Amino acid sequence: MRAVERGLTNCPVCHTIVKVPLEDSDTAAYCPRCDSEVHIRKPDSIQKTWAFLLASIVFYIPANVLPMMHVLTFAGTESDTIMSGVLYFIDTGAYLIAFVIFTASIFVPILKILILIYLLISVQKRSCLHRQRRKKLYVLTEIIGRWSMVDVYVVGTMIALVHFGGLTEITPGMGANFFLLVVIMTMLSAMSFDPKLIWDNSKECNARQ
Amino acid sequence: MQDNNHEDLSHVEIEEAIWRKKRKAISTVWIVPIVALIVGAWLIIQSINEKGPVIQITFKSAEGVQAGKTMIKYKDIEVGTVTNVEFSKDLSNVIITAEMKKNMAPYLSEASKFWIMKARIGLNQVEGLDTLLSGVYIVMDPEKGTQSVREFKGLDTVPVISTDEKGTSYLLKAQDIGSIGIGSPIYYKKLPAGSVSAYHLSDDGRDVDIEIFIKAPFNQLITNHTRFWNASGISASLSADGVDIHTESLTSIIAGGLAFDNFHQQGTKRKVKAKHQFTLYKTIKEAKKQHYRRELFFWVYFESSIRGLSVGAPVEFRGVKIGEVIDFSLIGDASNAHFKIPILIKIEPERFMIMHNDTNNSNDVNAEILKKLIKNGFRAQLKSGNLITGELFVDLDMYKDVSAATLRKENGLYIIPTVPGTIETLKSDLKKVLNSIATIPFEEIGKELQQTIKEVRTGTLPQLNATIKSTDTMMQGAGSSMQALQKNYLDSNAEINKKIIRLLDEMTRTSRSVKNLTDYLERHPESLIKGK
Repeated sequence: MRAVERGLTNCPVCHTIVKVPLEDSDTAAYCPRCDSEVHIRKPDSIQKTWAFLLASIVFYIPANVLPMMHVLTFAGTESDTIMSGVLYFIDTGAYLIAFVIFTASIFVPILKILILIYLLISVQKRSCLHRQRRKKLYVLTEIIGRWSMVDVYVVGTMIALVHFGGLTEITPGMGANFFLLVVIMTMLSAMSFDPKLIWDNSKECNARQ
Repeated sequence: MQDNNHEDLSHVEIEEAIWRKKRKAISTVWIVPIVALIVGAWLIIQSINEKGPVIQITFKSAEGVQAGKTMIKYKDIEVGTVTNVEFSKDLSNVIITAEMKKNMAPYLSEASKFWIMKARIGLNQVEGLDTLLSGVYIVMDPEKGTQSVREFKGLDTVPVISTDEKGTSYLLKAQDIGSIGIGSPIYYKKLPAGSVSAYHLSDDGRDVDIEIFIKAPFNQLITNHTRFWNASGISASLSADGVDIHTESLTSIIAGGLAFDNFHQQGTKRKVKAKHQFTLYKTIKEAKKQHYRRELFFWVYFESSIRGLSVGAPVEFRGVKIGEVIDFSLIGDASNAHFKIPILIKIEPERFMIMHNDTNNSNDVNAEILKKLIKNGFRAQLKSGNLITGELFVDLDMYKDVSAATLRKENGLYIIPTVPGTIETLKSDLKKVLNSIATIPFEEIGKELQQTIKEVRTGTLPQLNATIKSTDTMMQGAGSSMQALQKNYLDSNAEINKKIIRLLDEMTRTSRSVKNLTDYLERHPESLIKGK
């Protein structure tokens, strides 16, 4: 017996359990306690997740190709993309910094995008496999999501700190803007995903077992 | 989780949701990826649009060029980036691949030049100091040409003149390069008017060809009358007027330089084309001199001594210099012990004008005229130019009573017949002078002189004695009157002195009483009104 079968759900804000009759396209249900909208499942969850995910994939390309920041010195301007920055730190032997930047700026966004794609496809295919593990993956996307902002944070800090007039100055490149968009889009995508969808087919799966 | 405790839920009182009209109809979330796609597409289109032509430049060495870092600049603005640096197949050159900005595409022609800019410190300029910090960069000198080229050969040296500079190139022929280098300045009235752009040995190896560039508007001044000279260093000359030190500028002292000017010359002035060839003179003095292009050479034979004649001695015609002595030697004939001295002289026909017949501008002698001249007594003669130093020069003139001579040629040159030099005639003249000196009656003159002295002694001297005596008595009289004068005025007992002293005493007393009065008035100014 599942709550959805009884038309029960919890309010996303105050977590009151409310009874929601089958949804009607013209009307929406509201929590009697806190008046926030309640749904049995997040509306258009898969569609929204896909939309934000695709947007983040599109933005991921310029975020990596365009320079993240420009270092202006009196000797000239040097522009660094994410990858050239990582290579620079590897060249200079700062492997830890290189690892952190690589993880936060390249590995994490890609991981997040891949996890979301996997979750979406598995939900759409009504797969019964690794349902518990998929939940863990979803939790992981929520946890690691915020770490993607490290690179944006680094650029922001550098711009604020390195400001020596004509001597050395750092300005953000277009890549930083796109990277920020990638992070925001993946966050929105993860937020739009309703993990409850993973277990929506539990009856069929149980039957199959 | 709901599955686990669904039984508990059955006992909880559950409120029913309130039904109301939906606030929003459809989610418009799909706008987000669409916008993302549009932005992405726009970025791709822009980067494709911005992608400029890729060129290859061959250099002898890379000199610090780095792929991805080194830029190609024009007027200090980036016009391209080096994307790759590699060796040519035979390892003799370096091929630099660069991506240019799109707007440079029309300038990638065969006329465009590339060179590597690095810091250079020369005597007359310092350039490329910024490359010390930023690394080298490649300079492009863009110029539109006839065809589009993608493969270039980089210049090894930095060209002195960039193509956007307006001006004209000319050639100079010099005997040696001196202290001139590429980039040496060229001055006109001490203003920098251009520079040396290149120099190389001439094809025959005899001269140095110097390529120069005269900036606009100075190139308007270049005519066929323009003279160039070497203005390097300091030229000093000592003359009766003092020391004259001449220099163009400080850099020309150190780095060498040229100068040009238009001096007054015969003939019409006309413009010359680019790459016109000029002669480079060694000094301003030489440049100022008249230079003649036509030269005629003749032999002149003398039999007497030519001691005092030097190479470069003038050849004159009735006092007007028309040429100079080029060379001389001595020829002896063993059979009859006869010696003669051939002198090679040069006559510059441009120094004089021969009316009606001066149509021949070549370097050949007009034999007809010369024959006529010799028939009429045209002869050469050695003459003394300076009696003290004994310098000689060759004088040409028309002589009336000389033996007839014929026009002959020797070694391809005509011989001008001679008349004996002036040395012999001078000797006979001197003899005449000495003879006339000998005829002077020195004895008589002596006697006359003795007579005069005797007269002076007997007649004039006693009279002089009497005059001195009378002067003496007059002086004595003057002495006594001086004594009287002294007694009257300068003695302390003199009447006038006493009177003066009394007057001074009186004046002292008067001034004292005036002082008392003023002192009192100062203390009691009211007394002026009230009374004492």
